[in-house]
Amino acid sequence: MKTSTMENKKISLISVIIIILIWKAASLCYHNEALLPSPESIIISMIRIFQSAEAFKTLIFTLFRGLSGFILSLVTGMIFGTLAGINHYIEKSLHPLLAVIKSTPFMSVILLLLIWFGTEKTPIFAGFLVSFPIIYTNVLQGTKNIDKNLIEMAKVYGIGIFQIIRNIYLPSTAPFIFAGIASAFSIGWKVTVGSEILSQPRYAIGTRMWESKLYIEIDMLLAWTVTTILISYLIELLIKKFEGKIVRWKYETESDNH
Amino acid sequence: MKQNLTITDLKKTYHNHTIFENLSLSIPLNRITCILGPSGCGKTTLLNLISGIEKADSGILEDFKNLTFSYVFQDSRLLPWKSIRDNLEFVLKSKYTPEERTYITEKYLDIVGLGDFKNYYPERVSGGMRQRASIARAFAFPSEALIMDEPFKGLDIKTKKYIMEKFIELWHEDKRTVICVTHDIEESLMIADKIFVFSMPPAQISYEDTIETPQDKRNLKNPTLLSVEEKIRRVFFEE
Repeated sequence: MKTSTMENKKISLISVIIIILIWKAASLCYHNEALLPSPESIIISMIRIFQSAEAFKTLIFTLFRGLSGFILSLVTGMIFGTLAGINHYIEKSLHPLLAVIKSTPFMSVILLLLIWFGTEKTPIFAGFLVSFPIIYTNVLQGTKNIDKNLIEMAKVYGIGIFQIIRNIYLPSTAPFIFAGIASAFSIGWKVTVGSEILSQPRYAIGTRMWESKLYIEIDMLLAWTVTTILISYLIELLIKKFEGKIVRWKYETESDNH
Repeated sequence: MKQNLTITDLKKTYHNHTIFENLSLSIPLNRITCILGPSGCGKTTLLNLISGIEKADSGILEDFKNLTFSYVFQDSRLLPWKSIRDNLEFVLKSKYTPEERTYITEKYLDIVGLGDFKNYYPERVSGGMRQRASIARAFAFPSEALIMDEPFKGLDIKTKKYIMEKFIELWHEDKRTVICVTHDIEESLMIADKIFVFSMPPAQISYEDTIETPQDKRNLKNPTLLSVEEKIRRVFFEE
């Protein structure tokens, strides 16, 4: 298992290098730094951006919006996913709402949210709306997956409900929750930044992107985009690390079976 | 003082299918009772009614209401995310202090020969070892009655013999009331003080017997056991 992880990392690294090389080649051929800047000029722009305190403020505000929407979807997704997993009437009654959330074009949702909540809160709710169905669906599956026999066993041995939740419910659902968390965050993060472009809060990566487009500073636009990707990658890495700690038993038993 | 736990006029149906109708029986306290019967005669249902997992339609099960139970299920039912030791400690949490828990857990795991495997996750050990862990858990838990549902099923002959010996060894420690369901006649002859044979549903007792010979002195070639075996087989074939 470990060797395959190492191999995967190598492959990912090689593919990133290839993408950068293609980019570099394209920028050399195009020969127009203003329209297609080279990778190194993006790095220089990123350094320039983060020399100002303003940029950090921008980053922190967007991060705060992204994480708020994500945590909100995590908490509500876990509550509703659990309730729906336990009771199929709740599942059925939530089904139409979920279908509406999933299929409504997210631009129209953002426009509505802008009218209802104003510029600052819109990105949070937009992020929440795309992450929630993912977390909800995974928690629902996890709850349905709980081995009822284990709960029966615990009840015979007189184990209380809180211990059952902590020792049976949570470990059963954890692998499912984590499977959804990483993709829920990255999609939510993208939508948060995207809706910042539309809603234009004072401090926001999306706002900076819009301004870069307005002044045709493509290097700045790309620098902010790369920053967004890097943050998403780092947080996903953190989630994976955390997952490894929580569902350690699964990795250990799986690595033994392979 | 009470000598028996009694069940009176038990009735249980599943979707118009009657499992028990006016079933009454007495289970001796501090003895091992084996319930034999063909598959589908309601043996597991009876255990679930006794332990409160399921509710009876009617009948008197008062003697079992306030009892505490340990249960050895057909499958070991260990939590896959806990080590074998933590699985035992999990059920002991509300009963003992951490020091007592560690001591009791290690003691019972040593008896069933799992001392060296206590830190293993259940999936990493064999089915027989998991079943031994389940038996250790049942004995480590300070219950008043121990329920066992075909605990030796699916084990190879050698492992089965070893686990049965360990079971008897553990039972002699506190002689708690054991109710064990099986369809293996020889198994019941080796461990039971009292044997009930059930008929097909609606189950009635088609045969019952008591074996006085102590478990550690039993031999399947012993004439008394042979005659009990013959009687049970006759009832089985008549069915």
